[in-house]
Amino acid sequence: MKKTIPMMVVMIGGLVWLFWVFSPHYLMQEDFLNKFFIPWSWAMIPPATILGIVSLSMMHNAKIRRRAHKWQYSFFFFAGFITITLAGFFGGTQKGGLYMWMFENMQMPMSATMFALLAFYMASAAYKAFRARSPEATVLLLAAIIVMLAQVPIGTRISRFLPNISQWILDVPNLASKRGIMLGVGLGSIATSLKILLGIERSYLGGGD
Amino acid sequence: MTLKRPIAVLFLLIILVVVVSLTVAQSSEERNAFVVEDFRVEDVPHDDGTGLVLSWKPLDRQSRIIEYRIYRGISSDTLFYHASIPVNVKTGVAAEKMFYYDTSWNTLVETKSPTRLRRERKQAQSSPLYRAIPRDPDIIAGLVPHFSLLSLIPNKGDYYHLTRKSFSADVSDSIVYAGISLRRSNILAQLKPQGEYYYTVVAVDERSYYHEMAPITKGKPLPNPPEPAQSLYAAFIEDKDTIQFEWQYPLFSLDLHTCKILMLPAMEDSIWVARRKQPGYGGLNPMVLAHEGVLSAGSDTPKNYKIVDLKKFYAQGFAPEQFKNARFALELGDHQGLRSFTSLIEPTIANSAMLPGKLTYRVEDKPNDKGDRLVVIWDYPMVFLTKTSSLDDEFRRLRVNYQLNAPESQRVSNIYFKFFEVGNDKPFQVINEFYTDNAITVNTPVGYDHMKGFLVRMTLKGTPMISPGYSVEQDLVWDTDMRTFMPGKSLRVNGVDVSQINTAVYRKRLNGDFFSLVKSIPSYDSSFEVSVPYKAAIYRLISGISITRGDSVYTYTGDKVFARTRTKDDPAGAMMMIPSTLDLTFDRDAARTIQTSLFPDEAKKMVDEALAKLRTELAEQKETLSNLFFQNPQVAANAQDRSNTPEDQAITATEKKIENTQKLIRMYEENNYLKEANGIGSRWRRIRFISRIRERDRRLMAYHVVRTNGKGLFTEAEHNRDADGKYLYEIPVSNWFDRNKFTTLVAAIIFGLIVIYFLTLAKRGRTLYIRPIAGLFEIDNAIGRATEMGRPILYCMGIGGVQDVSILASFGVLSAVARKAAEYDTRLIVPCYDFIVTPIAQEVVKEAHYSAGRPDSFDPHNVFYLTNSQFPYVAGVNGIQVRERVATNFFMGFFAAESLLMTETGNHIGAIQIAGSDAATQIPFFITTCDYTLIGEEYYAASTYLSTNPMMLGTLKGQDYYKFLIISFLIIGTILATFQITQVTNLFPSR
Repeated sequence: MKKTIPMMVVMIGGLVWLFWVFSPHYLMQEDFLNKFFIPWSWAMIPPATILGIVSLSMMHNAKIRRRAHKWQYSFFFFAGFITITLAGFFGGTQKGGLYMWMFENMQMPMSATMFALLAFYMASAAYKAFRARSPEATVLLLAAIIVMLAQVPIGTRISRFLPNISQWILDVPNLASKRGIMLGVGLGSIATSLKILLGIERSYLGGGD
Repeated sequence: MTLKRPIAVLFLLIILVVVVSLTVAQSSEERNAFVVEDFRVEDVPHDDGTGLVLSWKPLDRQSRIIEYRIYRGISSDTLFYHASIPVNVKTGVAAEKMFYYDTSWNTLVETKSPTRLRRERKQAQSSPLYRAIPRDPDIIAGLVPHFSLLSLIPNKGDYYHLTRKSFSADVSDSIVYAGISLRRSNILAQLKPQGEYYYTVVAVDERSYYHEMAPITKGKPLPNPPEPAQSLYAAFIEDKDTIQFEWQYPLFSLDLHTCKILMLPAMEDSIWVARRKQPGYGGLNPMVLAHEGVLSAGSDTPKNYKIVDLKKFYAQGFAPEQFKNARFALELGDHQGLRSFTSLIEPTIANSAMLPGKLTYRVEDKPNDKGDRLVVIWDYPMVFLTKTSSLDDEFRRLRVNYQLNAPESQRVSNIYFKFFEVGNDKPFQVINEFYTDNAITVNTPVGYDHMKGFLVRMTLKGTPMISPGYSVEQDLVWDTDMRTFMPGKSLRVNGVDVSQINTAVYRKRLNGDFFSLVKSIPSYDSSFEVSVPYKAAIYRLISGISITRGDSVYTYTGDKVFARTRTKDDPAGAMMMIPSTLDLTFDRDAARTIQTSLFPDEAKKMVDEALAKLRTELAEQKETLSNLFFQNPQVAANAQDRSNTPEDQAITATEKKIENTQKLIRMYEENNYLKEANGIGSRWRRIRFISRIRERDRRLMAYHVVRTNGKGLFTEAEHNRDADGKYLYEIPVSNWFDRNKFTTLVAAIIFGLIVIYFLTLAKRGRTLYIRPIAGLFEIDNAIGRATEMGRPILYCMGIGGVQDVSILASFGVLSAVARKAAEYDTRLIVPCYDFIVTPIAQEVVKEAHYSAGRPDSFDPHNVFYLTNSQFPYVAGVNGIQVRERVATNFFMGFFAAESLLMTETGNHIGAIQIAGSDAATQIPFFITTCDYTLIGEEYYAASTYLSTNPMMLGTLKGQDYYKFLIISFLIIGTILATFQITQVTNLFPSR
């Protein structure tokens, strides 16, 4: 019973969504989606957020209690969490308040810093990928050089055919392999959905049978 | 009491964060008080007296303003927040002046407005500025005399089902109102003509600092004469004895009530300008050629053309020359009786050959939609060239782009392009475009001077059949600026230049007696999709507000307040009084809209009262008729045989009245919808029935098209009518199945059948061979490595939510990994991005530990929610990797830019990494930085591989066979398309 009812809910929900995909009827597109599903999805968010917050707080609390490795960092979680929550509750979340100030001047720059690191990691990954250790890696290296050169003005100065070759690489072999992957992904996701609908795949219910 | 050390540390940290934040936020620069200058409140010109325009000089960019907040009140001591104009803080406002128009219906109170009045933020006690008007009945009641109020009920069901019968405290008012509470309806307000309103503007900077308000300024909206029509054209059609008029309404046309076409003798315009507003037009005595109402439905524009038949004027002795030499003007009148006039214009002398060709049109339901679109089609599909580009340096090869505009019901299988040299009838190239990808390649002739340009003729083939004689022609001319050939200005359909011709689509409601303009479509299209939206919200005028306090009921209506003792029928609390009557249906026989009430008993009473009144009227009319016949016995019994004497006309008119009254009685007695509605006892079921009928009626429309050059030369199409000569009304149909997805459905069914077949085989114990995937074989080794090293394993599902299939697939892998980790007694850390994924992941890991027989080793703190911000999540995961010195990383799920950041960190700390994702853009990064990568479908196969359930293999096998099917179709389709056989290609949806 513990798994049968959730499975039934999933199966019925899955079938309704399947019908939704093929049916443009008002009942499905407005009554079901906009008037039923979306409001209930929104209603689910606050309790789920509380679950997440409780989970994170318990984890950090346990770390502090156990004096786990680098447990002192957990205080930063509580400090940040409490400060920004109080700022939001008492000062409001609008621009100009402490909450938004902290978001714009602390979280955003830190996020941007993380994102900026990507450039260096990309260079490092490119270095690894472009080492011509095998014929396949050599082809990859050549293709990358052509595509990269075609993106900059010097590429056209070297050869006026370079942009066309680059475009061909992007449009033909690159796109073909990408579509091949997407085709596999599509089939894989349909198969996974089918397994869930038929009740064969039950891991989302907590593993096991 | 001693403070524990951890609590003390936490406390100090909070103080530190708060102090640092506040100090930095407040200390950067001194605040300056910026006051908005040159603030004015003026009447909006040409309106109906319900609009004011506010203007002020914006502050400069350095003041870092983010918004201008506008406050409005009915006295200078209390101004409520009314609206805000956001400003880009970096660019500021470049214009010299800013404007805000307080016109039309603006929101006064919303359902989500607070219930208590609060002073505006950071204002002194003496400040007159308050936040938005609250949902406080007393405050709203105080505003009733100063505004016209409209109730906007966002959920129509609230009006239909949750309104209460409500009565005014004014004993002379016997109307039964529908009372709706303030919680269920927004209130929109419009300024009243001659009312006095007070305004101010406050600039708010990026730190939410409210600068000093502008001086409070009073404004009074006044009714003004309407703006003259933007243009007027007249065309005298010699061979048809008609004059055609066409005009453009001014921007503000909502207040317009009537329009007159005036004919005057030729004169100087200055005389007309000087005398036209005087009584009797200053003695000019123009002849009124047409006098009509200006009416439109919803957002449509009123009808803007008129054909005046001159034959009746010729019969009165007028000569054609009088009309040819006359001058014409358009007079627009508003509801207040104020008028505006155009300048005098001369008519264009034309004949019917100069008019655009007459159209036939049809109205179709738009297929595969939810039932809110109709398509008006008046011609075959239109194809035209859009641009060209040279594929070499000498313009020997041109890529020509084209556009095909066709309704969904029309399939175009082939477009034939014929390219001609200028002055040569023989095409130098013919292209059969059998796959419409909006581009063709043309080889231009050698030895031809390209600068002369080319001529292109296009014909089409499709289903339903397109006439072989239908052709579209365009010129390709050299464009010096673009340095390529571009389509010329002319667009010839069947040899006629239609580039300056538009097709105007008009529509009329079932209960309306006028057509209004929906849109004017250029000739580059031959059909138009008309939106016929479903009714979602209800708008009703508010007559007043009724508030029950103790034993008394107070009603605020207009500028009066009434009070009486409360009865048991009066609802408690505050109610907005809106009409309880509503349109039910349009009775075609009586040509009248039947009204009914929300309340069943009132509805029956309405019918009884109407019938009683009509029967009395009928008896009186019949008596009048018999008296008339008695007094005039010579009058013929048959109306057709009567003369034009006053007696005859009086009898005919009375007979007409009797006929109309009888029709109305029949309507009330026999209309099926009314009978059925009044026969339903339950209010709920009755209203459901009424709403279905009335909403269907409101969406029934008749359509009409007119082809015009916009300057008086236009031709009306014949109206679509039924056998009785009545207009045909159309309504869109909501489709249950999207036929464009038929192939998808068949493909999905085939795939499902293949999978089920292999599942059955697996169930019967048949061994299914599955090709090996290296990454999956290494999972055991990776977990074993972590165990040997005594370090934890990290399992990361990326930034997907539970709605992503890739996350659902990840649960299967997580289950297998967790079971193995539990068996080896190795710690598994699962940081989650989504708070809904977290409890599921916890349950998956817990079950895995139980099934491995190690429930004791499950620690829920190892599966936790981290954050749902992308880069903080990366920071968290990277921190865990480094701090916990994980030995093995699994990245299975949905990833975006964070993938490389996390895997490179894993690489750096020397962890063995296995990744799997369906995000095609991230797979190269995984391949580069991870030891093993499951690409696309391999990732989805992972849980199947790792599962002990043989049935799971059936789906994998099914996938492989289905891929074979896809590849077969790809090859067959490619070969057939090469030979211009496109049936297989067209089988598959392209959108």
